[in-house]
Amino acid sequence: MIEVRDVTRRFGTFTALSGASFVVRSGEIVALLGPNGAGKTTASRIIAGILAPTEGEAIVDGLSVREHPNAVRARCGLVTDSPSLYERMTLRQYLTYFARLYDVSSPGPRIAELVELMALPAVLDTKLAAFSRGMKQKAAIARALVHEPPVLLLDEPATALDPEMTQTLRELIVSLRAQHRAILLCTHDLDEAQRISDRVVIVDRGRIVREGATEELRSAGRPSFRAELVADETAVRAALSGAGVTIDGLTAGNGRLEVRWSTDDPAENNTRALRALLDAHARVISVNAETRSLEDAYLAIIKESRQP
Amino acid sequence: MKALILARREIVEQYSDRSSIIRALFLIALPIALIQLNRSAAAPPNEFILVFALQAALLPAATAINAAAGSFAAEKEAQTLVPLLAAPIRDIEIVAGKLIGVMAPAAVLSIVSLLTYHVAASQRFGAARIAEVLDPVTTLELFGLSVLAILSLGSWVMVVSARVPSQRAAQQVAGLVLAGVVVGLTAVSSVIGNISTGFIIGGVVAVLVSDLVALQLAQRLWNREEAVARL
Repeated sequence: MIEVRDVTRRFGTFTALSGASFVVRSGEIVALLGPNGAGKTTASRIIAGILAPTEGEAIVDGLSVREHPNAVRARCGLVTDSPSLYERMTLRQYLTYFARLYDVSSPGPRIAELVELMALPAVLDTKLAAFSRGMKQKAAIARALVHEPPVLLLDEPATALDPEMTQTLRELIVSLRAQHRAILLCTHDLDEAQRISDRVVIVDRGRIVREGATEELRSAGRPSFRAELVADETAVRAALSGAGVTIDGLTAGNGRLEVRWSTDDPAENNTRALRALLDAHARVISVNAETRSLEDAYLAIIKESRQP
Repeated sequence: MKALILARREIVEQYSDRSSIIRALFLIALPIALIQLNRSAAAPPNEFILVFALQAALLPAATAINAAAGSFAAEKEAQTLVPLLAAPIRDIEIVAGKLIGVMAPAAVLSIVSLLTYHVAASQRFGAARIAEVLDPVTTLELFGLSVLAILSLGSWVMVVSARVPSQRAAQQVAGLVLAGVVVGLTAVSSVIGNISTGFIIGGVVAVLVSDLVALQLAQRLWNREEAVARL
């Protein structure tokens, strides 16, 4: 549904996006993750048909953003971090205005449907200036959906929302995926990405540095393990070093030691490590495989990408 | 026609606060008040009547200056530009919508102002005299001049305000243009009896050229790429 092919975008001498390629299919949520200024907003604006790529091509619903920008805009719904509403209008006037701009033939029933979905029917004739931040963001999402676009571009949609509203927004986004829309979620909120996205594209300094399924990225890298022991610290260090295991971290407290290590060959190295610990008279309380969060994976990937 | 949808919103936005309505009423009332208050001559020369008619036609252009200043800068400041640029509207429709939104109310105010002036002047100097001095052709010419001035001033203010960072700066630009209009009107008023036809034609041509240049520039600045680059 969205296909970004080797897209570069320059503003004067500054390159905001460099050779980016990724795909978002129907019924899929893809998180475009990256720090501030990484190129996420530029990518979403190119896909939305607001900016033309300097090089490369973006295809939305089979249409080129270069050749058919207006048709592409008609197929996209864009939500930005700021609700960006005409605050002197009522919600009804605002949605009707955008419905007309998007050539919606009978806006009335569509608006009724949307305000029901967003739980806003009570404020349909209230001026937008009187809305709370969360309600304004809901109004912005309703605007983006007014023409029933097959593609939804969400650029930091949960910025400044309280946790309850963020949860509501998440549920809404997931329900929109169920309607077979292709959803690109630009965010630096890893928790949000981890909870709802099917795939993650990590962008840093305008370049795509990793792409994959959310679970795949979390489990990528060397598996790490944590053991809780009652033992002498020096003896433990000596034992693990003798077994060829590199300690990532060791903390002591309440008469216990917590040792962390990572290995590419757990079957071989963990057996050796445990044998060495037992030989050093360590009492083993527990040994666990550590679960890597998307945040850990993201930070590791960004760090790796910035290494010369 | 999407330009008309945009224009309608611009007009509603402009007149949804009381200060705009008060400003418009004040501009309509000003020339009427001036002729009513001026009791120095019982039968003033025709130029006197024409000068105030010119003011009645042109002063509402000031509302266009303010509206044009706000049209781009206010949207930039309120960040409402991105959803608009993301909608399936051609750049030319955006420019046209903004200009119609700025021009149409000012043009309506201009004609209302002229007609009100006509009635007030008839009451003050006699209907027969005013019918002779402000015949339909002259009134139409004054209105045409006013529309050209509105287009020119509105376009130039839009061009400049598109390049300033805030609405406040745009309003300052509008203030400067307005001051220029007042100075220009005063100058024209003082020499109106001695202006040759060639000078008038030259002036109209200059305004037309100014309109064309401003429209070209406004269209370039409202190009999505330019607009987004300035957000």
